[in-house]
Amino acid sequence: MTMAPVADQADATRSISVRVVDRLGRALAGKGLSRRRFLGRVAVVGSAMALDPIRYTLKPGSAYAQVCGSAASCSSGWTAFCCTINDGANTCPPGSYAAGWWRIDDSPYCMGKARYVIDCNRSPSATCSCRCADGACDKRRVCCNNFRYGQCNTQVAGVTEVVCRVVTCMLPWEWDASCNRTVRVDNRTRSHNSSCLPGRDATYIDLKYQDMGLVGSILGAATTSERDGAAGGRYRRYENGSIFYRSETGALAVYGAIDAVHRDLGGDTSPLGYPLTEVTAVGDGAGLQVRYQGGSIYLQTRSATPQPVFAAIDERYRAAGGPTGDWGYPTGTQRTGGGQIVTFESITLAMAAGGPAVEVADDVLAAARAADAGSSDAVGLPVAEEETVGGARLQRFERGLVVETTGGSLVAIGGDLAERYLDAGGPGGIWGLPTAAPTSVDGGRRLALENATLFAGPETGVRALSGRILEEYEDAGGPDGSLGLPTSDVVRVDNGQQRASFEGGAIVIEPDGSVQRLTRRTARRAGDVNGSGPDGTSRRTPRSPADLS
Amino acid sequence: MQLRGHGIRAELPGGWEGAIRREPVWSAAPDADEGRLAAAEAEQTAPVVHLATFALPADRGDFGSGAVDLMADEDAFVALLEYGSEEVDTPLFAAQGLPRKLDPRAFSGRSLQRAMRRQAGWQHFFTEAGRAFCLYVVLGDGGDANRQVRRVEEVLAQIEVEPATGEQNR
Repeated sequence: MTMAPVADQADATRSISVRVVDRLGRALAGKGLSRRRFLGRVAVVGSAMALDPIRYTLKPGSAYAQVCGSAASCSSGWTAFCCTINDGANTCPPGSYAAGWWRIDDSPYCMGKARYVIDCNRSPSATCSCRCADGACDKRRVCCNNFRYGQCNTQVAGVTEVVCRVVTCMLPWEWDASCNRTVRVDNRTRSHNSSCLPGRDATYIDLKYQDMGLVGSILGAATTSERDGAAGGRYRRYENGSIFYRSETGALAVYGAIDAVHRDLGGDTSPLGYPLTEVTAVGDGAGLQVRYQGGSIYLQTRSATPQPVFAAIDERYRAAGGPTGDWGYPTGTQRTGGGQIVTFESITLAMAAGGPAVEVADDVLAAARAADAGSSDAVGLPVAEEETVGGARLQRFERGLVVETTGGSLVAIGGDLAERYLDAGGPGGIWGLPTAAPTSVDGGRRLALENATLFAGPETGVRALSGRILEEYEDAGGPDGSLGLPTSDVVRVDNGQQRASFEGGAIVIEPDGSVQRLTRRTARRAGDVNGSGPDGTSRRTPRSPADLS
Repeated sequence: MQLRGHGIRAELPGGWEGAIRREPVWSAAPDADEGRLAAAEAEQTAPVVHLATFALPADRGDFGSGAVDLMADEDAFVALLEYGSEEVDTPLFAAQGLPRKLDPRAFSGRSLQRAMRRQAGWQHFFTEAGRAFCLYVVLGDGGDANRQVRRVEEVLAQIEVEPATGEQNR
């Protein structure tokens, strides 16, 4: 048994078409070809193989016809494609202008739909000389045919030479508003193409890029291949933007600073998801915007910093008129805990994760932010609009509320304290307004209200004390004293007593107004009982029966 | 032979044949989105008149591609193409009246949509009867322009354009 040389083994692992391209490329190279022309020839062969490998392998001489179509030579009399002579740009080169267009029906280069060819004619003030293009296979004429289709820029009189041809799969009057809609048709040019244009196997993204001008577009050159994105979408990156494709939207191009922000957020995998629109001008002419599945990005031209606005906030913003409404442009955004705060020129909106978009006043936001992150009074983001309760401002947050105090300032009250306070009616209830922000005490927190004080501890829950019992409790040192935190509210019992229990005892107000502070006895060992009585007094000495007489 | 349609009439001299047609509106694919469909339906179709001293093939472009390929040296091809009414009196269409007399010296092998050996062409945009047109003439042999131009003038003399009614374009 003989072994094939290593190089041949590697060769065998490649596809037939790749090997054929290699060999034909070498054969085509011949002698005396520049590297550029050699690579051009290889590219044509490669494209031909991709289009129709069997036919091309059997008929290698048809490579140019496969890629560039019929009549691609200079002597054929047709005009070359712009990308062939314009450094790859599918745009009218400098010194030329769109002068007219024709339609090709059922084009294989536009997925079976109409393809449009737009002639770029020499500008009257420019000069150019008739020559042959030097494309890989598009050798057609440049600046030779003095001819005009006549549907574009009719403010320009006269007929000049056609410099080159732009192709699009989009409507010419959408491609250039200077073109009118009078249709001319020439299906005899159906096969015409160039190696710098997408072939018959083009994707939607390829065609979008073509219609934008290829490397002459605002996107610049491609920096990645076309890739699979999230949720069945596709995308491709370019020097200055991206093109995204979904069947629901078709191919959409986003570019510049807006695309950079989207990319930084995670692109199609970000909360914004895929674009729903391309970059569009805001009605006032002072900005740009792109709508996405999960929000929008706005760019006020003078700010140069695009602002992403998510989900419910964006919906509310747009319902209010967007950038041209009363709120103006977004000037700052902050993502926090899955939610977002967006500051607009005249308002701030906030949204907790999955929550509604609500307006939040600056001083409310400042009060919410005053609580240390991670503390029990870090209330998160607002979940309801600000309201007035009992004459005081109040806004509910994810984990509490911000409320006005008796002194007019705003304080954040978090967690269980807020819940208990609101259950009792908040500022409109019997306890009235807070007098200060919640404070930390030994083992818990305290919230002083006009008519009561709430104490909260992890073991005791939230307890409300007021009146005489609260006074006695404070006299006894409050939570830092021997009583510890309360384990009950103030309770009125049938015998007229008011009582409250604490971790370390109880306070009882008798009907006659007298006060008892009861200290909880700690559990004692049997041996301890011999030492003293339950109240700490000395144990009585045993008495004899004679002592009882 | 008489041609008549879309407000254009022509009594063709012997040896000429012709046709008046209007391109169909682009038929969008079934999966075309509504926006593109609406835009495509907004295409304006306008009459195209083709006159030739040879048999016109059915498959030909509006400016004669596919037909001019078949021309013999002694043949001539004339295309009269109407444009949208909004173009009337724009600088491109500022010239008034369908030319009836042609200057053989204006014909050139470079004034063709597609340069073809020996052929010579001439193109002229104008407004006639309040309607915008382009006249495009191809001679089979530019070297015999004097004689061939006279022949073309004979057929141009027979063309009548009725005033715009708004029906010609849509």
